[in-house]
Amino acid sequence: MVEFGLLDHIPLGSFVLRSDFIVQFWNRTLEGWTGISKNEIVNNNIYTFFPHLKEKKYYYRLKNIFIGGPPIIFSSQFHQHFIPARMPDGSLRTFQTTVTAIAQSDKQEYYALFSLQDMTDLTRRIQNYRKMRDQALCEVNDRKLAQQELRRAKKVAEIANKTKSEFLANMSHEIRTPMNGVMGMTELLLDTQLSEEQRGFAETVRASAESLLTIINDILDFSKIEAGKLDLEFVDFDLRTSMDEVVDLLAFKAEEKGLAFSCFLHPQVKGFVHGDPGRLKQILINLANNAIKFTKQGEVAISGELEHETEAEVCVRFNITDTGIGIPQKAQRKLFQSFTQADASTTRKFGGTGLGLTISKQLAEMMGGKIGVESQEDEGSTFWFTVLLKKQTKENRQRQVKDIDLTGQRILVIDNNKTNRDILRLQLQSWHYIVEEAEDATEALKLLHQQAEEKAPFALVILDMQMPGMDGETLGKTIKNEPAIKDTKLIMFTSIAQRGDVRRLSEIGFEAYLTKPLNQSQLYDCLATLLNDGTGKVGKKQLVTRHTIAEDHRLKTRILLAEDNIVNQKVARKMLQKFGYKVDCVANGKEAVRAVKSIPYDLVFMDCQMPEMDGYEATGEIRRVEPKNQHIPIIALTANAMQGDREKCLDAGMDDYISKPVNAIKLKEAIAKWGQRITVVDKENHSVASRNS
Amino acid sequence: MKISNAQLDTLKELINIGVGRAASLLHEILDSHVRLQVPSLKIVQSPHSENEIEKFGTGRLASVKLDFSGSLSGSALLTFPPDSAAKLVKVLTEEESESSDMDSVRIGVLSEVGNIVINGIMGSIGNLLKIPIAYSIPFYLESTLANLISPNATLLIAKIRFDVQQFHIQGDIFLIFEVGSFNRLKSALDTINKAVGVE
Repeated sequence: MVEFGLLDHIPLGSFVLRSDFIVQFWNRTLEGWTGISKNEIVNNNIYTFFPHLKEKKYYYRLKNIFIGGPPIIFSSQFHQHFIPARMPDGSLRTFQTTVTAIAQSDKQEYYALFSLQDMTDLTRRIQNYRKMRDQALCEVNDRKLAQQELRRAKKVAEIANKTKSEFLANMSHEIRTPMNGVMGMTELLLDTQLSEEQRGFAETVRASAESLLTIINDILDFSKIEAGKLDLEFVDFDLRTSMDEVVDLLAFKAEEKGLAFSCFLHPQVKGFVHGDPGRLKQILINLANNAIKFTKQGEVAISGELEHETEAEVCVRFNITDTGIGIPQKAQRKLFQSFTQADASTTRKFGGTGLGLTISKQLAEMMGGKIGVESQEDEGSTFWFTVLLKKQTKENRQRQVKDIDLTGQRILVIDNNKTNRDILRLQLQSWHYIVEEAEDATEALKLLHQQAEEKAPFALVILDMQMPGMDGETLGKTIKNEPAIKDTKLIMFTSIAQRGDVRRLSEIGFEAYLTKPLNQSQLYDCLATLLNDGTGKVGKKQLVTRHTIAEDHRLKTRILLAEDNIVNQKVARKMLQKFGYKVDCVANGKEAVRAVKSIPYDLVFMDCQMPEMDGYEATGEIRRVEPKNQHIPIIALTANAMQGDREKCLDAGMDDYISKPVNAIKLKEAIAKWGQRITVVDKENHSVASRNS
Repeated sequence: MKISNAQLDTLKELINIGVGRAASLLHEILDSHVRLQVPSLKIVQSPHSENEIEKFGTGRLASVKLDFSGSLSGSALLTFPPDSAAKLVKVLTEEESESSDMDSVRIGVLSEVGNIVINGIMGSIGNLLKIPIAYSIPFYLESTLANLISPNATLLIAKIRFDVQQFHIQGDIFLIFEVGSFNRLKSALDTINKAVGVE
């Protein structure tokens, strides 16, 4: 008995049998489990309590133990009734029983040591885990199936979407060709003698066609982005020029609605960058156009500022601020999703596909930037976006910087509008002028006299036409009539351009005349012309306007137009003639080649699809025969404004391309770029189609 | 260390007797005919033992193992391929246990079966040889054969295949003796041989 006392302390049920099946020991754990006390069972035969141990399968194996054989295991599953598994409290337990032989010290015989392990909790836990695992496996399986289903559905949807985009792209080609005819002919029609009623009709046709084209352009861009066919260009360009071009395009619209329109790139931003100017302009135009559209009165301002920069890159933030209807907080979030406007009802009121912002967002993101809006209902909105642009290498930059020294001269800016003064001051200061400001004529005259007395007169005055009290024109007259200050050069900076202004102002003595909003390169050129002739004198009383420079070149520029479609040919020819260019027309590639061989053209517009010889082949032929140092710029006219077209045109040896429908602005832009690189701004035709919204 | 053919034959016979007992126990449990194949014996030298063992099979097995030591050391293994193990458990407990994962019912049942079979063999071998052997408690393992048999000594491996046709259950019994412990075995075998008059 004593020798087994240790077994009272282990958490296993254990007992010891002698070979005659008399119980030698019964431990405490077992007392608890079975409700049979030690005193009751020890020195009694086990059969008294557990008669089934007499069964053969137990008996023989136990006999083996008593002669020192290998240990045995009785599993609860296999021998359900070995231990009455019901506890005194009635609960059912599961046991595994091991029987090992223990040598008796004095005899050859062995004891059988039973040890019983309670497996109930373990079994339950394992079975729970198993259940959980099975459930998890089921869920995983379900999810897998669901995912497969989703993936399949997604693929189907993607294919459908892509097909749709491709279809749209093809459709746009089909739509653009007749649109070209409609718009071009309407423009020409408007230049003929029309009754008031007829003019009204024709103008409605033009306006409708313009909105239709805007929508088509949006859809095309959108489908290109969706189809993953929109790639960015990477070229060197000047941010200032790009912004000026946006201003040129939109100024008329803003002016028409009576809105103040300003545009300013902070001098901190070095404008010479590398990226996609076309797409950048598209975002600016989109946002500015919206701003103009949704603003009834007040102003629309575009500004560009430095977000951050590194050695190689610059991140520019553009803000387009308006004083329009504003956007409720709730609607702001939805704003950049496809086909959404802030309020569906505004669609009817203001028009538009709602794609402009989505496209802008995609484009900004493609250029490594973000887009967003800050707005207060009824108080206006500021749309902003950032783009990451590469800086130009030093050599490239130096080539573009004009080497005129404008520094150190004193300029007075007179305008009652503070924003306008700020913009001018910052701009002029960035060119190292000394700038002072005056709010009205009285203050201006005081300053002018003061500086003259101090022998540091203003070299130049930039003045606004519309000012309370004395207006700009009267102030100019006053200045030119006072001997002490009459040498000061005058630039009229006005937002109201009227016929007759130029002549009248010139007579008063104004040296230059510029229209708002500020076009930075125009201002620069203007100042350069006025202030850089050393003597400070302007030889001839010739007013510097935006037109003057371009005039000369026009009549000297000869253009060849190769286009087989008669309507399109007529449209383009009339437009070009209206700008004052000489235009010859041919109807296929062969004729084009022949024409170029006999006449030295300055520029060729080449339709890509033509009978007999197409535009690509004709271009190849022209490139083959043209003299080495006389590269004729050839600009493709194509109705397939899809990705790859441009490459195809450039590969064929063309210099650029214009997508149809061709309008006056696109032609002008192309001529400006490839003709004599001259700026052509024709006020009378400012109203022709704007491409984007 | 060399074992004579007579000794080998005697050992085979001992194993046969043990396996016969095991089979009759298995028969009792399953109430179904158990067919035994003749034991195949193989001596595996230590450096190559791993490759040699892999020749017996590389699959994952459900097994019950009992180590023994003393005058004779080695182990006895009862192994089943997973599907046979599952069938066996199903037959014995009338429980579905199709999954090959660990589970207390499986372990309990297989331990028990392995225990009965191994007991039958080792009990009768021990009894016949009349040499003292210490046994470990049989334990359940799932692994490959190469992992079950630790191949770090020269081993004598006896393999006995059995199958229960009625239930398409197949299994193997491996008896693995460390050859270093053969002196006692040989003398014990010789004693038996003398007793039965074999030279």
